[in-house]
Amino acid sequence: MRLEPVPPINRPQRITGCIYVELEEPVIHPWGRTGLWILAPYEVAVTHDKIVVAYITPLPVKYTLIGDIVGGSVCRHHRSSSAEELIKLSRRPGEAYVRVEINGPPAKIPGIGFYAATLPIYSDEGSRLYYPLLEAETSDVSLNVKVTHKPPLEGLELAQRGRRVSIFLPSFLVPL
Amino acid sequence: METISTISKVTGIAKLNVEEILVAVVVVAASVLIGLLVRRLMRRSLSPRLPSYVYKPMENLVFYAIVFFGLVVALAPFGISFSSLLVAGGFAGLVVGLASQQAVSNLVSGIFLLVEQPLRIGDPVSVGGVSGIVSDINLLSTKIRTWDGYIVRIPNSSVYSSNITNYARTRARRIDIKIGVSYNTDIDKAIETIKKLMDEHPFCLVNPAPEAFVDDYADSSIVINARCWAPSQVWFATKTQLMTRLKKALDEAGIEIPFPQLDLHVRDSVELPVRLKRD
Repeated sequence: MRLEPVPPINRPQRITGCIYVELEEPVIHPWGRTGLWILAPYEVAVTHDKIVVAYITPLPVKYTLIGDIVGGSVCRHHRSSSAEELIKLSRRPGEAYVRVEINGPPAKIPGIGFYAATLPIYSDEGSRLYYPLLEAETSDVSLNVKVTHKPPLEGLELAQRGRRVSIFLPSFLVPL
Repeated sequence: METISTISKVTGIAKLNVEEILVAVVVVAASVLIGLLVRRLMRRSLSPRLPSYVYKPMENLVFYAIVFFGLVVALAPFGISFSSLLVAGGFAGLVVGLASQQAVSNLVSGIFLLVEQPLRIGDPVSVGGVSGIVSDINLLSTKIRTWDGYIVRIPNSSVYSSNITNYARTRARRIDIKIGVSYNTDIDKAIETIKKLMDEHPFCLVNPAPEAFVDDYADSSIVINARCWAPSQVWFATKTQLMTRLKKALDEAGIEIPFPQLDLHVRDSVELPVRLKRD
């Protein structure tokens, strides 16, 4: 039996591939390029001979709608604080670090959404988990968040190998 | 032979012989078989990769194209070209159209349905009073599998001219549950209990936020309306779970859901003689 961290999109049943992290306090992004750290949940996949037997979720599960009812997206919801430095975030069991680099005109950002279904997850020596780096672009009406398959810090190891299904990495639009 | 010469006179084809007719029939039959085989192969390779509302129309289109090609090839030895077929087809189409307006209407409506796609195979829908899952959309009709398992065939002209309610086209749908609580109930406690239950359910969406409020003062109870939005794929399961859990949660909180009640007030004082009998 193996336990490995996976994106939190399987419980109670799989209906989406995206995560939306609502910031406890909206972040004001000034001109230029800034970066921040947030926390996003993960689940644990119990596997036997490479077959997933069960998914365990350490945190309560909620979903939310981002955008309008017809064209929006239903995503796994999580509330998190944000910080410019990693050390200032207090992490609970079941949470992984996410680094977001934001570029573009000034904007008030209420949350960060991203497609997590195929993403790898990294870990450090202290068994803390990290999602890949996210790159976000602000505009007048939305925040366009793109996933990368790059680790947010150097020296991290792969805890869970994701799946690259296309050369084009998915992007997520958060209405501002 | 008389039949063949009659056919020759009617169609204007100069020479008809038995061999050519047999070859034509074999070609048409072969094209139908090839079309069926290709359709089966397409289904096997496409069904794991594409949704049914995409690959099924593609299969049908390829099948009809192969059969049509077979017909053209079969008729070529008789000197009937594609352009003459079109001319003849135009005239024949006028005759057929007048004679079978309903079928043509269904065909045209079917094409419009395939282009506009107000419903797709697999969508939960309600069409003209028939509710269920769309199981097939053909050129002439649409089949719906009702919730209790019956297959209802609806002509496409009826589908196209009806109000179509598609339950799958929105990301989320609202759940409304009305609960009648006793007039003696602490309303704030009842609303808090209901809201807490909805907040704990994973598929009661955070946004739009769940609501619980007094909706009506009915004869026997105060009606509280509990509302939350759930993803369309799990709307029904969420609603049934909430209905069950709400009763349990209200029972645990000591909140009564009363039976219909009637208070009787006698306004006039009436003397009522009572006789006590000793055994």
